[in-house]
Amino acid sequence: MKILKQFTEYLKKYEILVASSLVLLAVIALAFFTLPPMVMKTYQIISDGNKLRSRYNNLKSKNNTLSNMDTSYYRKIYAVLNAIIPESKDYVSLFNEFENLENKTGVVVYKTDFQLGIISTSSAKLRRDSSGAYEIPVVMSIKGSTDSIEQFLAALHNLDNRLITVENISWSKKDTITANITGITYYSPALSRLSGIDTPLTEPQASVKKLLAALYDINLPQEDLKPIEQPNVGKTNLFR
Amino acid sequence: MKRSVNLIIPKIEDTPYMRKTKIILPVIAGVLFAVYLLLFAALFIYSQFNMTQYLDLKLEVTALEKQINNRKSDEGVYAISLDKAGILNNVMKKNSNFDTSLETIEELQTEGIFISNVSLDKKGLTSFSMTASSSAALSDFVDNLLQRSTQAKMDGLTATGISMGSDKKYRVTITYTGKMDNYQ
Repeated sequence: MKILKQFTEYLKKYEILVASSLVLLAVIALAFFTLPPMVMKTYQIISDGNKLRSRYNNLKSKNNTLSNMDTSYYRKIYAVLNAIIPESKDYVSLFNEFENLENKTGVVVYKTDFQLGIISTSSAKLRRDSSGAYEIPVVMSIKGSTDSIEQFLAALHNLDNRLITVENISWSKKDTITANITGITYYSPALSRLSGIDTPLTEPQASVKKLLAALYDINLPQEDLKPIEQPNVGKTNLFR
Repeated sequence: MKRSVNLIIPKIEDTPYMRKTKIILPVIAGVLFAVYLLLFAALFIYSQFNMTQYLDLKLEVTALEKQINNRKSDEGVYAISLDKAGILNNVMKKNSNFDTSLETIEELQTEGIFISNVSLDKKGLTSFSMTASSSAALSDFVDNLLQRSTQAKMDGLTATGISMGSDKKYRVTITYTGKMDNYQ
């Protein structure tokens, strides 16, 4: 009884200190348990907000570029490029090209040899060369006059048909010229996938821009231009 | 005799330190409590404000993504065209132009000179067989060739297998490495 009385007296005397200490302890406990999660959450919101803002800016810029893009310009270039460097080996277009070149230049292509190698365009064994395209070696034997052979050589890389670059020429001249031409023709499968939706569209280099303008001015026959509905951007199904 | 009893309990005075503590501690507790409340309220309001902005932005992002998705075909055409144009540009850069070299050989064929077999590769390695109808034609040809060798940047110019046949014609095989231009 005496102890309780003493305790009560003591409490009365130091009640302000006890109350203040309790408040202090409560503030410390609340701060410890409530503030860090709140700070973390706020930080997370700000951080996510910054990322989202950056994504928004990229998307907005990309959307503006796509909205202002002259799609008919690129669709024409796309068709011309597919005729120059097709997506597959497309040996039929090579035969057609030689037929066209014979008619156009007057040479006679009397022998051709395409080293098509692996027939599948999507084989894992195929490797791109430094230019980024797959190569198909081509050997042609032709007959004609000096002028017609010069025209034929020029027509190979004119960019108005499938591109063939010349590696080696040898010819012998009697009444007519008989020439053997070793060359390379190219194909390039479509991109395996498009870049991320928020990845800005790459601007072409000055030299590529110049080439694009030149390609736009090329008028290929309609039958050489394949219609574009949806560009093929690679395989989506491994078993197809 | 009158006796007196003191019933008042003597007051024990606080020490100066205790007196100060009794003033300061409540102040500290009150200030800290107020600071905590302020911080909590500020953080709550700030996070709610940012959350609203975040959600608004997310809606805009979703709308933009939808718009870009609708233009996927255009983007594909653009990306593939640029990729392929880059490849074509690279191929054309390393594509040797045979026109100048062929022109040089053609120009060497003057009167009395007949160039029969020619071989030329993309590195400029050139070899041809020629027949000169007379020694004078051969001499003119050599002068012409030497004159053009500097202009056409012929390197390692060599004449081999010089012979004269029963038809009194001179046959020579010429080899050199000429400068090849690239297409741009």
